Amino acid sequence: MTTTLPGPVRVLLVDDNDSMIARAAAALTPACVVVGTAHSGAEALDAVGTLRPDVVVLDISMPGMTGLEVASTLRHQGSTAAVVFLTVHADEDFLHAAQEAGGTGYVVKRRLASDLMVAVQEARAGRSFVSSLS
Amino acid sequence: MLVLVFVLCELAPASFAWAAGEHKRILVLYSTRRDAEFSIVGEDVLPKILDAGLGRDLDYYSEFIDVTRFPDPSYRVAFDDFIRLKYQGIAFDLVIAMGDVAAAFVDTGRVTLFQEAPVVFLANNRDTRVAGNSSGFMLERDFTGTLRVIEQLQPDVKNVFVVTGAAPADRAFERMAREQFKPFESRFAFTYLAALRASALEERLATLPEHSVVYYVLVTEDAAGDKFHPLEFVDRVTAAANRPTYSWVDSGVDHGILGGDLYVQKAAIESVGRLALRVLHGERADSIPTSAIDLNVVQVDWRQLQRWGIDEARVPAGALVMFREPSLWDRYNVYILGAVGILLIQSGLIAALLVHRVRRYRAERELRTSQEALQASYERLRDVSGRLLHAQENERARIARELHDDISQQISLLVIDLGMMRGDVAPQTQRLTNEALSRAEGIVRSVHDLSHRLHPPKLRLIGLVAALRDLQHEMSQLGVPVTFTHESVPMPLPLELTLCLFRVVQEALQNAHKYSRARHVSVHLRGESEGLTLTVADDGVGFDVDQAWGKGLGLVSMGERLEAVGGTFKISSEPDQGTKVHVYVPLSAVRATDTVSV
Repeated sequence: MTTTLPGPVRVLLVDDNDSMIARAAAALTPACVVVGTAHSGAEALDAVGTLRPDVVVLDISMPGMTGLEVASTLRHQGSTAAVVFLTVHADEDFLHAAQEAGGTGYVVKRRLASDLMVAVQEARAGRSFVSSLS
Repeated sequence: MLVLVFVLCELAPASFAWAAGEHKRILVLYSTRRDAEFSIVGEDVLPKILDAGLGRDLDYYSEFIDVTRFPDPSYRVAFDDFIRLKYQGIAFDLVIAMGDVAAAFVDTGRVTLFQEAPVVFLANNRDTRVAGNSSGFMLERDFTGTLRVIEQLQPDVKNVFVVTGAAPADRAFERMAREQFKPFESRFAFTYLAALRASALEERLATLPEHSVVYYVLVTEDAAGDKFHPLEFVDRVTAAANRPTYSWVDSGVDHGILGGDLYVQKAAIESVGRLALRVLHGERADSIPTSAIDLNVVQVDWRQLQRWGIDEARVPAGALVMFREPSLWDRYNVYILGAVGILLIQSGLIAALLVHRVRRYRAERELRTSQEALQASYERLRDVSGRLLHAQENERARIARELHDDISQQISLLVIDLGMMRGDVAPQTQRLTNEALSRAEGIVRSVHDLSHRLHPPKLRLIGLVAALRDLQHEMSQLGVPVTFTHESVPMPLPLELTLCLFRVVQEALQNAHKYSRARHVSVHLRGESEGLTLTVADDGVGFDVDQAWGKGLGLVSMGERLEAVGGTFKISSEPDQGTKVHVYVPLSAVRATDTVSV
């Protein structure tokens, strides 16, 4: 389903915490292009519609719509964007829930520096990457 | 005693002989016919008095000079002859003359008839005298006493209709009445219904004007020449009259007269009887002076007072009230008192019952009020404890969110930053950085655990089953294996419901661990068409359910949590038989207002 397209990966960052968005952006730059940011699930759905990112980096715990719900909705809407979850939950259940919701990658926040870039690029390539949960 | 009697007999032979057998011969002459009331009373009273005074030695004779019915002078002559022939050879010890006619007869016959006999008489005329050895009573007829009685009983009376007859005796009485009434003519208007035909009289009497009374004097013969027994005529008068009838003699009482100052015939006869005994016992008659007597007594017939509506209080003091009918009170006072007593007792009982009922009603009302107050406080308490649970849950959720969203994020950022620094720092600070990093990661995990215990984020983010699975792990780590099975659990569930069931399971597992000393616990959650059933069963020592409420086992809060979502639960437990908690929650009954923000 996913095809390797030329040029940098277009990423949408979704987190209710600006500092986290900043760290994520720093970790992805310059290999990826951050096309936009969103602070809630609703904003994210809008942004995906308009910005058409290759990968959506999605926090799970957000006020209102959860990241899991956003992922499910995107999948139901037929979005082609790959989803990489970026979460504090180093937990099997969350991982299963993320995979069920259509997540391709699963990165624990404290491993952001080492894992996010890998997970995004793997997702772009249609492959799954999961941080160590220990 | 016998000796004394014998001596007396020897000394006084004459008196002894009289005492032993000599009879006293007494002749009583009446001026009235044999069936006149006076004659009847006299014949009844006199023999008794004389008999009692003399013992058995009484020869009693009586004759009646009926001049009223036989006014012809030849009757007097014939009567004279009759007496002479009848009683020739009899020497009377006493002759009693009752009335003026008899007295005159004795007086004129003194020479031929009763030469020797002492005479006792009762006269109505002060001129009456009996020659020779005689004594008597003057009893003047007083018609005026009755007028004073009328004044007292009926002060408004103005007219007195005086009834008299046509016979000479009647006319004599009429003259007497007219004479005596003169002084009262200023007070009363007297109308003399004298010598009328009986029927005409009756008609008059039936139509008397107001403020009138009838005064019956005497009627033995009417204008038509019809002769009457005076009492028979009284009956006719009182029956015809439309006003009360008064009279002057007591014989009219019980014949319809109301009363009056009445001449009591019996008293006069008794007086004569006593005077006769004195003479018979030896007193000379002419040694006893003739005296006047007044034996009138005010009498009223109580029934007539009632008939004419006259107040009994008007009856003069000392008057004789005859024929008073005993009142209901007199007749039945015992029964009335008894009935009143019973009524009083009944009333008392009824009053006591009413008072008792009122008190009971009040007590019941107070009881109801306090029950309602109790119910209200219970409701408030439940409401408060519900709110408390809700507030606690909200607060836990808030803190958990703070921990996760803020602190956990911050520490994650710290870890990220430390991780980024690691490559850049000098070798001598490398170790410190690594330590800081692992410490920060430790803090992340601790905060995560704390947040999880306070309010598991999985409940909202993933669901009940995942959250229960975590509980299962925690419990198993404490050394109590927990089996968790679930079937047909719908997703997503209302957060209120998941939180409630999660807390119930948490509580039940804690009880199983802390109190039941269970070796194994099984948790089963099943979705049904309308709701969810949850069963938590352990194989521990069990407990007495009734005594466990409010003793820290969290049963009360379990109940309240379930009630808040419309659920029910049942605990079955017996010592050494383990404990089973059955919970049912309907899917429809979650109240929108009770949402918990996570």
